[in-house]
Amino acid sequence: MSRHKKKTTQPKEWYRLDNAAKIYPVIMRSRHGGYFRLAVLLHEPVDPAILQQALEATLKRFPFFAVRLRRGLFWYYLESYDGKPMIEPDVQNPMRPWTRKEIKKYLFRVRYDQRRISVEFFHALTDGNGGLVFLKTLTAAYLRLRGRFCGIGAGALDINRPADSGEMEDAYKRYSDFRVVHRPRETKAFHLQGTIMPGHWLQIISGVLPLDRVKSVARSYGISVTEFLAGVYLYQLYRIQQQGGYNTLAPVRLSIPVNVRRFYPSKTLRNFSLYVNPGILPAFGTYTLEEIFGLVHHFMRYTVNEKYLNALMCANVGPEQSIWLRLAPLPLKNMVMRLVYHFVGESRFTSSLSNLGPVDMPEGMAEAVERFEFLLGPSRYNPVNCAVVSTGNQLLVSFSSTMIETDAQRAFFKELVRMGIPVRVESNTLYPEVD
Amino acid sequence: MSYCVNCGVELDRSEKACPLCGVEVLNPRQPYDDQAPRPYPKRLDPIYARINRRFTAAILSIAAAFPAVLCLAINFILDGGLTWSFYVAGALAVVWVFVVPYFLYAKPTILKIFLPDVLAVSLYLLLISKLQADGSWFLTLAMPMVILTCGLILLNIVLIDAGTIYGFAIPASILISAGILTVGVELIINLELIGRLQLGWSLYVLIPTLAVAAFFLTVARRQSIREEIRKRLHL
Repeated sequence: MSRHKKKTTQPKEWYRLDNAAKIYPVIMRSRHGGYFRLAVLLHEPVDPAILQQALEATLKRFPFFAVRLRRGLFWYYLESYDGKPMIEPDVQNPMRPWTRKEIKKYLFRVRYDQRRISVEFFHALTDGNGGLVFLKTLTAAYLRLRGRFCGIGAGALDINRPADSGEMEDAYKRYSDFRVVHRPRETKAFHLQGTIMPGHWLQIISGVLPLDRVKSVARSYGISVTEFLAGVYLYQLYRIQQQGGYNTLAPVRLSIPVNVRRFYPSKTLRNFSLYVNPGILPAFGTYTLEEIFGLVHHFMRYTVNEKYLNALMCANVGPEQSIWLRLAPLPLKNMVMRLVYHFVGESRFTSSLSNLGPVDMPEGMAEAVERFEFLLGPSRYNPVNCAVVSTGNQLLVSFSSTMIETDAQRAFFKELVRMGIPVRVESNTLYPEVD
Repeated sequence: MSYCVNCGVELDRSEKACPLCGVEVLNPRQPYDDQAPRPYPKRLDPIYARINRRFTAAILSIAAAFPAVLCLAINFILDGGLTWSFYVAGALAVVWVFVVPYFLYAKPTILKIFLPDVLAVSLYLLLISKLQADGSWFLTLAMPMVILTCGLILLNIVLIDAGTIYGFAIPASILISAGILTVGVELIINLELIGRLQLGWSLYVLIPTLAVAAFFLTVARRQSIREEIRKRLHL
């Protein structure tokens, strides 16, 4: 009785979805939706009971992560949820799509395996960098409960301090200045085709590369690691398009998320990234790998700067401020947004390559951590997506694919081996038991 | 450590074959170890189908049962017995048998769906014949027609499913079956009405169907005709 009373007197906190998050509930389907997974591989086995404690303590520091997705009349929104967050054992087929029931609980799943702690996020909640802050804070809290010393800083927050309101702001809205609005005109890109894996299976193939070797090869071409990996991947996708019996000259484009926090003093832990899509137009002629490196390099230099990104951001935020769109009821808005997504979203690129970059760790954590891992979830038009993260000298390139054919992954890793970069491959392939 | 001989990449201890190309690891110095630490454990996350088929079946059953029960009740209250409501309830039961098995089987096949339908139609006809004063037509008229129709459909399904009949032979087979069905129906009706087997109007149906079926069969047998048709009618 008293509990009931308490509920009615304390209204629940709620949060608007940020600009980038708005699309994810709309495009969510039973097979795909915006998901990603971050994991940390420790040196010692994980103790589930302590991890559970650490999660409960960490979530108090992240009140805007303790939310569930609700439907309003005009928009989806996030509402505080006070159910107990439960850790789950890890699985061979991660990133199972959230069901309609599950989005009414937490929008993340914390999982553990022998030495691994992993968190799967629904993209409406946060982006890779926000997720990484959560994972680092959780890992630091876990290590401290295990009796190890682990400092704060370098992305790991102090769980004894209250949350900062700046951490939950919609930074897109705050920093778009509407000097100019620019959305690049892009035509439909080339898409890989193949046999869909049965049972919503997500095939994961990761390659572990030595970062110093990758860096030195990239430097020899005068480009950065992201540009190098994007160039190699683009070149292989282009070769598959030319030689794989596709009979098309559609542009081959990659979508590369850019962390906009680099350019603005925002502390936000919600989404704050934008996408630039470097690519090549095979209709113009035959490309060599060096040409592609040059194209990607200069495209990235042209786009990844504060002015260009702000113009992109304004193009995204602009429609959201239109009174007519805001007044449209949610089902109508969903239809419009799905159409817009169809025409300017994922169909404009061939694959994603998301590079979280080198993960820096607070004092004391590096001794306990072997590496961080990063995975992208299944998407609608593009069967293969690529996620990159590096820890120390280990660069981890993980391909997640919804199709059986592994041509793109194989060509990518083979090209790296040809360039003299050793690759160690691991996967979640299911091998039938032999007696 | 083992390397894939085809791709040149080093393979993790937990890989039995190269995940990139499927070539098996054959390293006598380091055979595949099932117990090696795996990047992902062997536990599988169950995937729930968005549409719960059993739930759909239950909803459909309730939707069919409600009017049936209602009619039976009204019939019983107004007339003091069950008369016309049997027609409604029986028809709904037939519809139920037509629709619901599709949702109940995990892997519905055509035969699993079709055979209960035949049974349902026969039982419904039997019910109608029992409700009428003179129900003798059931054995002499209804059952032969049901058996003939369903037998021909079943034969086509089985032959097409098994791949014995394919391509242009499929329309030929369906047309021949339709011709035979018309002749059979006339024979059954004549036997009932005038007491002997006599053919009349059904021949006008049989002959065109056989003619068109012959055309399809010819096309099915002759590669050159198929090529010619594909050439002239290509889109």
